[in-house]
Order: sequence, then C-alpha cells, then structure tokens
Amino acid sequence: MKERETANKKRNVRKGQIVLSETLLAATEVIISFILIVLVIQLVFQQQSSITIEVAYDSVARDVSTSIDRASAAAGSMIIEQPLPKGLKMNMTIDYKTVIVSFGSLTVRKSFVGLTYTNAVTFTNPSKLCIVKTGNDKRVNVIAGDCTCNPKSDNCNPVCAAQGICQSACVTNVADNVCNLACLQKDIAQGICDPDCNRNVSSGVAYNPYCINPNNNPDGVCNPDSNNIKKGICDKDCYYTYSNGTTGVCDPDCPPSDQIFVGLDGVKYKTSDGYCYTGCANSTATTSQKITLVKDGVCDLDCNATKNICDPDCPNSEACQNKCMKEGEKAAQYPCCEGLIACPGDNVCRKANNPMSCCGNGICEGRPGTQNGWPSGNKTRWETPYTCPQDCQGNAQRPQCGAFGSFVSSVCYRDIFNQDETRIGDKPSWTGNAIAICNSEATKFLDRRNWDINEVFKTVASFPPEGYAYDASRYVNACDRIQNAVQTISSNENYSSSANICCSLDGTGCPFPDAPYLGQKCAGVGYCADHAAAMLSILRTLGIPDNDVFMTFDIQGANCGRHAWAVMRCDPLLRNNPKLWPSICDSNVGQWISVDATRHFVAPLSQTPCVSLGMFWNDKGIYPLTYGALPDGPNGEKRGYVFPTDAVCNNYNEPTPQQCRDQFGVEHHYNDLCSPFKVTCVVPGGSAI
Amino acid sequence: MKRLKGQLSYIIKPLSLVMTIVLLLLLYNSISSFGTRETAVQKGLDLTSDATSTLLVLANSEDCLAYHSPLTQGVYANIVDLNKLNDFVGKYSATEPECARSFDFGWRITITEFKRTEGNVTEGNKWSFGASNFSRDNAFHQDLLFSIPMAVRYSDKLTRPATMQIHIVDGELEKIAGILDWSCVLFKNNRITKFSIQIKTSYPLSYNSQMNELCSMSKEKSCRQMWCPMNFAEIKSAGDYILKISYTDGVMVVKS
Repeated sequence: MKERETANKKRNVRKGQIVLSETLLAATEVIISFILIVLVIQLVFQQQSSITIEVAYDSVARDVSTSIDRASAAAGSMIIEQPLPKGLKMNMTIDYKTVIVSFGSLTVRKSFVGLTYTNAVTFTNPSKLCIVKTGNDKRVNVIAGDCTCNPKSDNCNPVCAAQGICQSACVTNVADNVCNLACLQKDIAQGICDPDCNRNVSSGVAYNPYCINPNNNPDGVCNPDSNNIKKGICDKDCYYTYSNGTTGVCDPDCPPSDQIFVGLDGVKYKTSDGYCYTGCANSTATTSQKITLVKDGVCDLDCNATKNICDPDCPNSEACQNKCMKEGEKAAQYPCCEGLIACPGDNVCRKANNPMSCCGNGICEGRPGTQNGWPSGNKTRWETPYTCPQDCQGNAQRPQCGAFGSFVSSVCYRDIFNQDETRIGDKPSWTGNAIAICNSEATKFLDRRNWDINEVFKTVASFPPEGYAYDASRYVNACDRIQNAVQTISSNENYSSSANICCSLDGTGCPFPDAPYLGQKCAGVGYCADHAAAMLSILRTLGIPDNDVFMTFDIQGANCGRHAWAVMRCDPLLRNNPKLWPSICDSNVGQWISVDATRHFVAPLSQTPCVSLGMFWNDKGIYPLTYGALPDGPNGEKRGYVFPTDAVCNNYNEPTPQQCRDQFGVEHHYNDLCSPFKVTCVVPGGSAI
Repeated sequence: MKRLKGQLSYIIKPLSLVMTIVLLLLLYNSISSFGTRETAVQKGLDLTSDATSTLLVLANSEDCLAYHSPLTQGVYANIVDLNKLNDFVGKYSATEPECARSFDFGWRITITEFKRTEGNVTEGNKWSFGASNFSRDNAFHQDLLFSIPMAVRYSDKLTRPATMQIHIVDGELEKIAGILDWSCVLFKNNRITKFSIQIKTSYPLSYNSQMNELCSMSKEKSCRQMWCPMNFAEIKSAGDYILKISYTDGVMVVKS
C-alpha cells in the first residue's frame, strides 16, 4: 500500500512537471514569436523607409543630372526650370560631372555626361533649380530659384545672359561664371574686362581691348575676336601661339614694341627671341610652301633666318627677297614677281597686264583642260587660231556677220503695291538696250572658243562656271539698269572668281545671304535676263538663224519665280555645219533646247521644269509678229502664237499658272506684252488673250 | 493514449515555432528582394538616361562631334563634323572622350553612314571609338544598345545620313575606374588633396603601369585605360574595400 502511494506520488510529481514544461514552452513561443514579429516588422519598415528615401534622393539626382545633360547638348542657349519634390530636405552639390545629394548619413552620387565649365555649387534645401546654358560660351550654370531675369538684381544672373539682356551686376571685372555678351559695350565704356568673356574661343561679337592687361601678359588667353584689332599692346599669348609657321589670329601690335630697335641701315628690327611671329600672314601671297607676312614696317630677325617665311620688311630675307622670277625667267623654283604671269606652256614669266603676252612662245595655250591650257580664271588669255594664229594651227575663218535685226529690248517687270505697301502684282514693259549682235565682245568671246557652238556650250555648262556668275544686286531696281549684252559678255569674260553668285553692291544692295560682296569684280556679270540676252547675242553672232534662237522667260518653282534664258532649235538644216551643230542635238533633232547660262546647263526644253513658258523674242522682234503669225481675226486684228507650238517645257510637279496668279501675283501678262505691238497673242494649246 | 498525446505536444510546439520563424524569414526575404528589384530598376533608368544623354551630347556639343559653322558661329542639331569624327577615332580608340564621359558607366560608339548607290541605300563608312573592354562575368551587371539618327558632314555640298549607336555597360570595373578618373580630374585641378571611397569587386584588381590600365581579373581579364598614372596597391581577392586615394607628383596613390 505504501509502495503504491509512493509510486502515485512519484507519478504526480512527473505529471506536474510536464504541465509546467508545456505552459513554459507555450509562453516562450508566444514571447519569441512576438519579438520576432516586432523585429521583422521593424526591420521591414526600416528597410522600406530607407529604400524609399534613397529612391527619392536618387530620382532627384537623376532628374538634375539629366537636365544638365539636356542643356549641355543644346546647340544654342537653353533655360530649364527644374522643380524639386516639396518637403525633401537635402544638400545638393553640383561639381565636375557629378551631382551629389546628401541628407544626414545618406549620400547619393550621380554622374552626368556633359561639361559645364563652371565651378562647383552647393544648395541647401532647394525647392527649384534653374539650369541655364549660354550658347556663346558653352557654360551650363545651375542656380536656385526661378528662371527669371531681373536686370536690377545684385547677382549676375546667367538667365539674363541667355536672354541677351544686359544686367548691370554682370558689368564686372570679377569672375562669376557668367559671360553676358549683351554687356560688352558697357564693359568697354567703363574700361573693364569681364574675365568670364576673356577666352580662347570666338564669341562672334566685338573684342574688348581692356582684356589685355600689361601687368598680366601673357595670361593664357589669345582671343580670336582680337584678330586685326589694334589696341596698343602685343598680346603675348597670340605672339607665342601664332609663331614659327602657325597662322590664324593677327595681332597688329606684335611683335612687342620693347623688342624693336632701329638698325644701322635704318631698318626697324625685332630682336631674335626664337619666335618668328606669323599671325599676320598675307593670305593672297601665302602658299602651302611659303608664308608671306603682311608688311608692318618691322623686320623680324627670327623670320629672316627661315627659308619658308617671307617677311617683306627684311631687306635680306632669304625667303622673299628677290626670290621671285623676273620677266623672261622660268617660274620653276620661285613664282613670278608681281605684275608677271607664268605662261602654262613654257612656265616663263611674262607681263600680266597684256592678256596675249604668252602668244608667240610657239605653244598654243588654250582653255583649262586642254594640253598646255591655262588654269581657271584666265579666259581673256585663251589662245586659239583666232586669238593667236602664231602659236595655234587651224583655220581661222570667221563667218559673215551682219544679217541681224534691230529689235534690242528685253522684258522688264515692275512690282505694284497697294496702299499698305503690300505687293499685289506686277506690270511688264519692253525696255532697255539688251541685245547686241556681231559686236567686238561677242566676237572676242567666240574667237576664244574657236567659233564652235560646242565650246560655247561648254562655257555655259561648266561648274564652277567660266563666267556667268549671278549678280544678286541686280535685283535692286533691276528695271532701271537693263544692261547691254556687250557689258555682260565683257564682264563675265573678265570675271575670275569661282563664286557662281556674288554682289556688286553691299549692304541693302546685297539681298541674298549666300552672295559674297565682290564689288567691282562682280559688277556687270548680270543676272538671268542679262545672261539670256548675252547668250542670244553670242549664238546669233555665231550664225544661228533668227528663227532658231530666242530669248524667253518662264514661271517656275514652288514660289513661282521668273527666270529668263535662251532657247535654240536643233534645226536639221544646221547639221551640215559642225560648228553650229551642238552634240546635244544629235539625239534631239528638230527639238528645242534650253541654253541656261545662269543655271549652267544645256538640256532639252521638254526636260526643263517650268510652270508655263513666257514669250519668245530675238533681234527680229517678238515671236507672235515675226514667226507666230496667224490669219487676221474677224475684225482684221493681227494675231500670232507667243511661242512655237512645238515648244513645250516640263511642268510636272510644278504649281499651276492659276496658283501662281492667285497666291503670288505672278503671271505672264501676254496681253500687256503684246499690246505695244498691236497684236493679239495666242498661247499654243490655249485661246487668244 | 495520454502518454502519446503528451509526446505529440512536445513535437508540435517547437515545430510551430520553427514554422513561424521560417514564415517570418520568407516574408522578410520577399520584402527585401523587392528592394533589390527597386534598386535594379533604378540602375536600368540610370543606364537608359545616360545612354540618351551621351548620344545627344556627342552629336550636339561643340566639345564633341557637332559641326561648328564658322559662318554662323553656331552648331546644327545632330550634324557631326567628319574631321572631328576622324580625330576621335584616332584619339579615343580605347577610352571615352572627356566631353561625354560618364563616370558611372562605360561605353563604345559605332557610327554607320548610309549612302545611295544606283538607287539603293547601302552602308557606307563606319567609325568607332570609346572603351574597348568592359566588365565580364560576375562584375558585369547590365548593358544596353541604343541608337539615334544623325548626319556626317563631309563638306558644304556633301552630308550623309548615319546612325550613332552606343553600347553602354554597367559593371564594377566601369564604376571603380570612373571614380578614380573623376578623382584624377579633381586632383589635377587642386580641388581635393585626398579622397576615400567604398568599392565592391567580384574579382581581384590589378594595375598595369606600362599601359596605364586598371584590370579586373575575371575569367577573361578586362582592362580600362585610366586618365591618371597610378600607384595602385593590388587587390588580391573579391570583397568590399575602402580605397584611400591621394595624389603625389602627378601620380594617384591608391591604397585599400
């Protein structure tokens, strides 16, 4: 019994112990689970929060760096206003190719691609940034706040520079990362130099002479805008950079005055310092082998010692003194002296002012591309059996000249304006003394081309043209200056530039931006109507019959512009005379061809684009009267076609005549053109007008 | 039966504890992997943004390839100068030009022009410049191919259409070389005197002083040309390091 009680007691003790353990285990489990859950939630929230913060700052840095890149990739000036997320506290630093955003221990660094050329800047809690690229200096500035220019503000604002507004705070000689070119004149007026604008690249505006500081010379800057500007001090940066064969920026104050002395021979010399200053080269006399300097009254002893730099001020310069070839000498080692020209056949120097000075050397020196031919630009020197029978073999029989008519006028259009000075159309008239046949200039022109139509057409079609440049200034009061074919032919024969468009007047007299002002060189070369009259005169002088060659004009192109040129018919009767039969006619027998000296082509009329043809005329008069006559009308009036019925140009893809009339006020005005001759004009394929 | 029940409770209780821990770990892992994905997306955005910016800067910036007209003193959008292009091909055959260098990524550009012959458009000249080597294996993170249309200007009369393609790479070598090149510029401009940065590398890093190249010793070695000569203490194994950088007599001293 005792044993059983003892056993029960023992069992009870064990049972109690088991209950205690399970409770303990459950409690421990709850506690551990609670702690784990709390830890995990805390960890998760903490991590998520830090990720969110990092992502937010990362996005800000990315946005700013992307905007900086967009600005630095802009071709000109650009202003970008960059708002930043509200409530985001941060310090932002923009440094060399890097945006650094920091908040507490968190730092985000983001690289950008473009160069900003500005110093590092730091912003504290910015709400908006303004990113400004100034096109003139390629700088990208970042400032805090709105992108607005307040000219009265005390801080020089790059926004004003980008907008071209001069802000008085930018008129300073203290570097502030902003070059405001709109303030340049104020800088000069106040005698200060903005160090931000003093640089080695051109800004395309006036040069500030106050940027040369005698106490800080050289300063590492040779501004290309200082080219050819005299300011009293030699910029030593330019002096050192553009020496010993490097040309580019000419500082007329160099070499430095303190290095100049007068020699016993009375000549001013520059002491030798190892720098032969070649910035001021004479561009017309300089060749790839030799640099010739501009005469400045000082002999640079460093240049004097060279073989390929000619300083004309040095009496004993090996490179240029007497090193040109005299008359009668061969231009082998050195070029001909001034006033002489080397004949292409024997390379001997002869007088340049006589166009035929090479004639008589036994060598036929003709047009470019032929054996012993002249370089381009020497048309008046071309030798043929006609111009130089001594040197050129061949028959030089000129055809009979003289069977030409007396009609010399050309069509001219004057614009008509309404009260608001808006162009509403134009009024044509027959004016001027344009056509000139069998004159001395046409004869000389043909002499140089063997009186051969194929050589004439070669001149028309070559590019760059053998003359027949386009004087854009002819558009200014063209009607008042209708010119004669003699002048056009002569001017184009003497035209030596390779530019196919030029201006004889400058300023407002030069209406096309792509036309260089050449002044007298360009004067007389004419425009399309002059070229057409010249070409008609030449072809008639050559012997093309009056019913086969005319001047005409048309309306062409999207803007319905007028254009004049010569047309010629491949008359089968001309085929027997090779000098009057151009090779283009072989495949166009009986067809009309365009001889367009202005646009430098000879092509079938049927392939010449135009809206519609104008009127034909030549020295015998207008086509309706001379060749286009029709039976008289019912009231006895004279009638005729304005151009041959088989003359058709290519009007595919061109606007319609109606569109040209309605949209541009451009039309032929056949009735106005025919009325002075009291003839009713008929357009082939159309009706009487 | 009672005895069995007691034994079962001994097993179930710890098991449920372990299960709870496992579930919580899974939850934590899932949430933290979300963060990793977020970071990867951000990196992808950075890569795309840098690729676009690099192409635009190369094509439009006068410092890079944009044609500068002496007549207008300006540049034209997306028209590059043939002379500059040839110059870049010669100068930057193995590294990126400073004008469009990103210090976060590495890139190489290929420009292919198109020309019309007998009515057909065919590929013409090709030019290539930029980094010649990129991170490999585990050091490589991601890359991107991206292109824009542009034109190559030969002369006043000839401009040919072309495409400019960038191969941009995000990798450990690019990041480490980038930060070293960035420091190099700041050292040269006396902006800083010393600098330290934390890096992570999956492979040993060594420096070839003769070629001025930093190399990641992955299965196939990849190297990048550096902007500054260095005295670089070799990193012999993968891991996280803090690089201490200073500059003496034109040489960057890099210690880990």
